Amino acid sequence: MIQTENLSLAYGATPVVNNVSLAIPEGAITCLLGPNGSGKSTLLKSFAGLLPARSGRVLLDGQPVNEWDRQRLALRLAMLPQKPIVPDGILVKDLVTLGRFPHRKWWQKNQAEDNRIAHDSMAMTGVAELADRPVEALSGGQQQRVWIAMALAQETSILLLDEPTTFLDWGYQLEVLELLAKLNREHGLTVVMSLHDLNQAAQFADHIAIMAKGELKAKGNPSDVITESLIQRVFRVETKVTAAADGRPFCSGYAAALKAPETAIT
Amino acid sequence: MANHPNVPLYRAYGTAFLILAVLFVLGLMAGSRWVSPSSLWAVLNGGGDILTKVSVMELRLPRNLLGILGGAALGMAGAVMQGVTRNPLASPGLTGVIASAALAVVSLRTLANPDAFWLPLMALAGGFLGGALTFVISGRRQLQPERVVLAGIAVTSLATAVTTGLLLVSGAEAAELYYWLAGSLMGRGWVQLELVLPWLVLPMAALLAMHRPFKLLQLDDDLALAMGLAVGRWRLIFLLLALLIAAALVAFTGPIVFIGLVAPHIAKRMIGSEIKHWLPLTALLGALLLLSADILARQLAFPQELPVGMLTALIGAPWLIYLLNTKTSVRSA
Amino acid sequence: MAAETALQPSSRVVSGLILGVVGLFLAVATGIQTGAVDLSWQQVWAVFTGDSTEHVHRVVFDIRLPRTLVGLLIGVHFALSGWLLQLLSRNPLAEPGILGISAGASLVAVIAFIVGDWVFSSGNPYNNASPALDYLSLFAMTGGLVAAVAVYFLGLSSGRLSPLKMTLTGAVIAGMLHALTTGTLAFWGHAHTELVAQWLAGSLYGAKWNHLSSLLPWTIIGLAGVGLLLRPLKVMQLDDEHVQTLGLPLNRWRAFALLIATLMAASAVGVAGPVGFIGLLIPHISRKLAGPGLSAQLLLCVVLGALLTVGADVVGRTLFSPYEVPVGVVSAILGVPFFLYLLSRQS
Repeated sequence: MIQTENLSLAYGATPVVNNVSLAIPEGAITCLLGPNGSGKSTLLKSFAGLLPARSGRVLLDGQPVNEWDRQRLALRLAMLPQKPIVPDGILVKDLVTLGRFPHRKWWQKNQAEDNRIAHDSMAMTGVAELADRPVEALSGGQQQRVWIAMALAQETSILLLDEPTTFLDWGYQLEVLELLAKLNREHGLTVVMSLHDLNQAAQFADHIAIMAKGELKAKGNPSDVITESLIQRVFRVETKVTAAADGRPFCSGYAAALKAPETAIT
Repeated sequence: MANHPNVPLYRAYGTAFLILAVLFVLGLMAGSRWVSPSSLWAVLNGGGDILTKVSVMELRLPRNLLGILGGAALGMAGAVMQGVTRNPLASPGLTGVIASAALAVVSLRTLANPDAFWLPLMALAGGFLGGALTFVISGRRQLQPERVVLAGIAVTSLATAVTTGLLLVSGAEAAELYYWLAGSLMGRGWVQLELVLPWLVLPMAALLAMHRPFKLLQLDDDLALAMGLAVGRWRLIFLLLALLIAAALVAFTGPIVFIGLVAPHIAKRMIGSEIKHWLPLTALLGALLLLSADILARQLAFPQELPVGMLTALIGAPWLIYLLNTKTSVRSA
Repeated sequence: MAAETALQPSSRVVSGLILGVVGLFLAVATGIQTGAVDLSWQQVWAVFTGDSTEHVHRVVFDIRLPRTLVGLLIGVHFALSGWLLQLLSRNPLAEPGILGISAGASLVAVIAFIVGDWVFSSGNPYNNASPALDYLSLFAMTGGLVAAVAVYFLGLSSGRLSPLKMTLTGAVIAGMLHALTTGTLAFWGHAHTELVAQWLAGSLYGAKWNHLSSLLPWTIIGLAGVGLLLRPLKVMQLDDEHVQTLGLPLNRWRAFALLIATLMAASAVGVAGPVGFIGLLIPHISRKLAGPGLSAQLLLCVVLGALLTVGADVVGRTLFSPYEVPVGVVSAILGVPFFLYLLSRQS
């Protein structure tokens, strides 16, 4: 399980995350929400040990994440960056197989088992028929599923995703989110992702953490967190929160948004 | 885009002018024979011995003027290129223009025996081909700054390779051409100044006059179009003018690098958001840089002269490395 | 980009390799046969069976064979170096020159020439240069290495390797060193401009067995290094964060790859001077033929790099015989149209 204790992060002299204490539960879907610049991407990166803490710490299974041996870490959590680079001309099956890298020493070639696991991962995300096609030629939604397959091939129990839906068409967004939900339900995958859409978070997350200007504003399950007063404070948007068909909160914003001037967020 | 508070503009201009004036006077005194201030005063008042008079009036005065004009031209060319392509790394040197112009001149001098009149035209043709090649290689639609740099390096390498090859067949002229290729203001007098003047002054004046389209071009293309600017056409005009002044200068002084890259960046830091003053201030700073480099070139290996291209490289490179390490806009290009 | 349906990459690779090897064989044979004195293949064969004249034996063994083999190795070095650099910087326009290797080597070479002349001065200017020439490779290679190290350290961005910043730093340093080289040559070079100019143009003139033996160890080191790098390189094609989350210590591997690329390029420049474009073009061609498979690209780079260099040298020697066009100039001239052709097919 991932935990942060009074974590502060900065890029050079610019503080980005301020004193965040958060526990990410195993086997659940957690969403980080917040306006641009709220620090959610940065926080996510620190979970993967990609950014040293300015103060405080990030713990993975009780041990500070920067003390983890990198290869062991790669066997525990996988991360999908926001705009991943697609190597020129690479085929789907070769990209997915790259996810097997932490399972072998760097000089060893892939064994039959690696290829099998890669194939199973592609089947799980529904891209098995695309195995021989170049990744660049796929649609946004298909590419995202290929990246998820690659992360699955890594065989970790935690998957971090940095804004996995931001650049996708609506249909593909739902496709990806439903896939993640399925993987969580059927395989116990712990999912931590940053999202922009409040309603998507409400629909799919078990836990939500809301960030604004580097600080943690609220955390808990969707019904507790997605309230009109909180949304107004953090996003400066007037909303009406109702219950959707499955009992989860659903919010509709008003045209008269951003009424309040941008004062210090309390 | 500046990371520093604006230096009040009049202070910036004033300081630059002052330094330039001081350098100008120094430039009249410095050379293979040092001219003392009193002798200088005498010459300027119409007297003085004949040797000093010739030194100052026939050699150093035009040379200084060429240094000022040339430095201004190079600086402006760089600023224009950086501004209209929104690429902080664009400059006549890094886009292969200077090297191609030099190649053109060397080919002409090696293969034929041309009149000085033809040199700037040839340089222009070479510079244009080199710049166009860079543009094409860097992938027309993308124009990412680093691709342009790499394409420019490729074109520069090509031009340099062919130039070196030509020098092998140039026989007796080789040593002289090598010196020319190192960039120098030595021996450039009133004749050269008069020949290069129209190529520089008119385009530079035009560039200064066109500051409003220039400012618009530095915005997003779609935005500028929406404001009624014929973006494609203006960009071409600006680039051609920049190319013109850089290549024409090369024809007379040989390739001098880094001024077109450094001067605009220093000026940008000083002007803050007042884009209108970028070009004039860059011109001033470029003039300052070249003139000081020339004076150093004359003095460092006294009584001989180093090629000024060596000095602009020695001054410019560390400065650029410093900029690369501090200026975020360059780093994140 | 339309899906590739015609030939599968693997059969293209195989045919490319076969053609390449055959072409290389022919180029080497032509290289040994042609020159100021043309030899028939029977004469060449006679040399190997020990049945030829003293003169022909000398021509083949002392001049043609070492020169051709050196050319072969140079091609491999530059092609592999360029391939590595293009992968590392994720930019298809990168090549060994961007690390300042050629520029650094050139500057040191020019200085070595001038100092050598001053130290060993005697009546005959052509004799002066020879002591310097013997150590020239070593000096030049050192110069190239120092420049690359400077670029590497100055190009670090808060302690990490940033491909972009390194590229820019490399461009600046290379530009500076080039200006210094030209200036030094202009100011102090005088009578020896022609000899130095040959080297500066990138030339195999005078390549002997000692050059080959000084180059070979680096070839072995380089090939071994590239072999080690093959798997990590596959992962390094992804973006930095991704690579790290897959458990690869990125900085360490990048530094190692850079080291191999630098050693290969610097050792080649030391022997032949700056030969451009091989490191730029060959990786392009091999990528086009081989597709995304790194091992295939590697093999093609080796074969095609050797082929292009030997071929360019042959062309340079024969076109204006008995005058020589340096291999650097030929490769540059051949390079441009080819490059434009490749690019036009892309966009």
